[in-house]
Amino acid sequence: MKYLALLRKEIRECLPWVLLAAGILFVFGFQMLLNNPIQSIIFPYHLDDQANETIESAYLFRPSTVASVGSILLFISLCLGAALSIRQFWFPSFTRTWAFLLHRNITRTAVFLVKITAAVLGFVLSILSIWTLLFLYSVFAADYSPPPMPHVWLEGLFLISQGLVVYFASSLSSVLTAKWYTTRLFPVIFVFMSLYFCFYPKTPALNFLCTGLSMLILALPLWQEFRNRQF
Amino acid sequence: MIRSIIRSFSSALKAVIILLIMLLILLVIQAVSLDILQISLRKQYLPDSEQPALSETEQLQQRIAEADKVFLPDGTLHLLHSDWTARRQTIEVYDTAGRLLWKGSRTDQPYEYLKPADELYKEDWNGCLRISQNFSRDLIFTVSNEKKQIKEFWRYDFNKRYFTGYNLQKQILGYLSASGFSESRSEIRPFERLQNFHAWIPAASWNARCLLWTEHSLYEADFEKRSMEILYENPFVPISRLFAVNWKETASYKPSFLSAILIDFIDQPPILLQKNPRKAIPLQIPDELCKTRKTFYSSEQTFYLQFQWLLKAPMDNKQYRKWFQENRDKPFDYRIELYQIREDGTLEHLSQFDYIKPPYKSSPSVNLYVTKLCQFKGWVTFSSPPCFAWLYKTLIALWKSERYILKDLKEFTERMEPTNPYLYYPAASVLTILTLLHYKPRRVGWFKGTVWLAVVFCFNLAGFLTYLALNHYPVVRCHSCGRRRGLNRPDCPACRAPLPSPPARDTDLIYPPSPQTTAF
Repeated sequence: MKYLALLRKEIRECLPWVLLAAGILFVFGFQMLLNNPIQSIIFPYHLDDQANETIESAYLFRPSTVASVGSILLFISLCLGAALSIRQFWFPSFTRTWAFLLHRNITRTAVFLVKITAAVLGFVLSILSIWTLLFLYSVFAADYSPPPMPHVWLEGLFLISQGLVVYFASSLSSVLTAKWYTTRLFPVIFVFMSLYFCFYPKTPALNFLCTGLSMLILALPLWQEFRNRQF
Repeated sequence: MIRSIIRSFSSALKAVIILLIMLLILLVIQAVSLDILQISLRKQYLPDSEQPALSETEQLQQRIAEADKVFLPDGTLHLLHSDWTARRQTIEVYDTAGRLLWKGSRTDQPYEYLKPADELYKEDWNGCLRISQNFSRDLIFTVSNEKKQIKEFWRYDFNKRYFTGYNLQKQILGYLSASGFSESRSEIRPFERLQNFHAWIPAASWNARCLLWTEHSLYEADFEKRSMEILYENPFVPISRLFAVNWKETASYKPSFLSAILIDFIDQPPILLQKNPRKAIPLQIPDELCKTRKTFYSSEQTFYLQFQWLLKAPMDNKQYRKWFQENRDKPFDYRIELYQIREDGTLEHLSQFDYIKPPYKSSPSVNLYVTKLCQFKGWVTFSSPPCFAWLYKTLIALWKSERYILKDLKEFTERMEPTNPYLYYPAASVLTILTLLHYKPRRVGWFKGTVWLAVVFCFNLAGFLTYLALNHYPVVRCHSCGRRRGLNRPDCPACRAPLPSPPARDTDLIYPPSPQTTAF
């Protein structure tokens, strides 16, 4: 019961950001899909050599019909990750409300898990659900052919998961007690390295593995810091 | 138990974050320093760099080696010297004896040389399929109607390895796989792993055709006719390279010329796949020519095969690399031979040409520049991790033995690789000793200390800074033994005396009053 009450409280606090992200993705995502007529996707063959009429192979690899949504999906995921971590881990320090939350008959690990659960739920309810809607629209309803392949949905999930990496990094940075210009800044720098390494592999399985590894590297120290810190 | 494991694991992960960032900062500082040094050294040494003068014979050899070597259909070899700087590109045509035969614009030249075939190598298309902010991309061929309006899409699925056709209404039209066109999935026979493909637009159509090369097979796809023709299939011998001559029926296709694809293998003689009439002819090539560089030609009457190789070099790849490194500063003897391919697959020798390529001689200023740069790199990389030198050596050994593991790390390891062991080993040792001195009064266990010493020695400055970031605590003198002790633990690591507590006063409700206060 205590756990559920805490979860409700965290979700209530995160809800404005979650709804804002969902709204922006819904409006801009659908606008981009609708304003992306078929002609803009199908560009003519690039002839390598006019005399031979050979097609340059790289030009045959075309972006998916939902490609235009990718950038905004990634951007909103990263922003939501940062916003949720600020709301959950930095804002209570600013309003001096940590004491109300922590000095109750509940373990710090439970508080930590509730915060993580609320953030993951926020991502699932807002960005993942809207992304699934956009994907289903482009598969079944939109006037695009060929429809995107099923693995594109997973690629969207991968982009969304980058937001969680940002969430863990900025949360760790909020919880650390060092000066802001010293090691406190390191988790934020680590996010940029992580983004590079997560996008680098050529196979989706490795992309997800790198993302999982980045989350683990950030989440465990975050848990330890949260347990040991004196608020 | 589990909690303590997670706790130590999370401490290690915190160290990993800091270590990675320290390495990144170090890499940036080193790269910037090296670039600045490179610019200043280039200004100092390279403006007057001139090639050392070649002798008259060497100049002639150089000119012959650099010339384009082209064949006439009768096997006569000509050497073409091009002047790319001229407004209209001019060429000079020489025979093998060095006589000038013709000079003028390339477009006006009077000779009809053999045109080499298009070569296809294995290509890794995974880069195009990589996830980006716009998701991965799809390999799609389109089919248009007479008005050039697109009516069909054929998309290749790299996981399932077949094409799926869609119309504009997103309905599936059918599948193209190794078994040809099929309307249901049950009839699909997936292709093997795609090695490469080559697409073109035939003169009579606006729709692409494509040569699909898988590990053991070769197909020609016609998306307009929804056909997949098997050109060659041998499940036992992998194809290593393809040469297609006059195969594509494009605007430049010559109907009077012979058309074929030469299918080359690693350890076996190639197979000639003739287009009209369609037949596969195994070529009978001497073993010593199998691994040489080949060029394939066709004319109106026959096919030709050219071989080019270094006379004294071993044919084996590993031995060749070693031989090349050892003989870099010596002249190389090359040989070119042209053979006509008979109908039974045997070869008839037409002509041969030997030439010498003089060794490359760099100017003394360039040598000085390279030496100085190497020296500076040694100085700049003194703080690089020694483990990078070990990693780089291991990777180079792996790559030399043709196991291309972690090839993408090449640039990173090359940049950070410490080059002067007389600098980076002492630097790492000094920092390890400093770590030991720093750790001793703050010690919380020698296992942890040993791990940190190993980290500092392996990662040099980055390891030391990481250690400091996580283990620096103020030090005081122990009130009991007088030795220095860190404030990170409650007792002195030397005498186990606890930290002194302030004397309790009368009003203190928790601690009993000290004997001094009770005396009053």
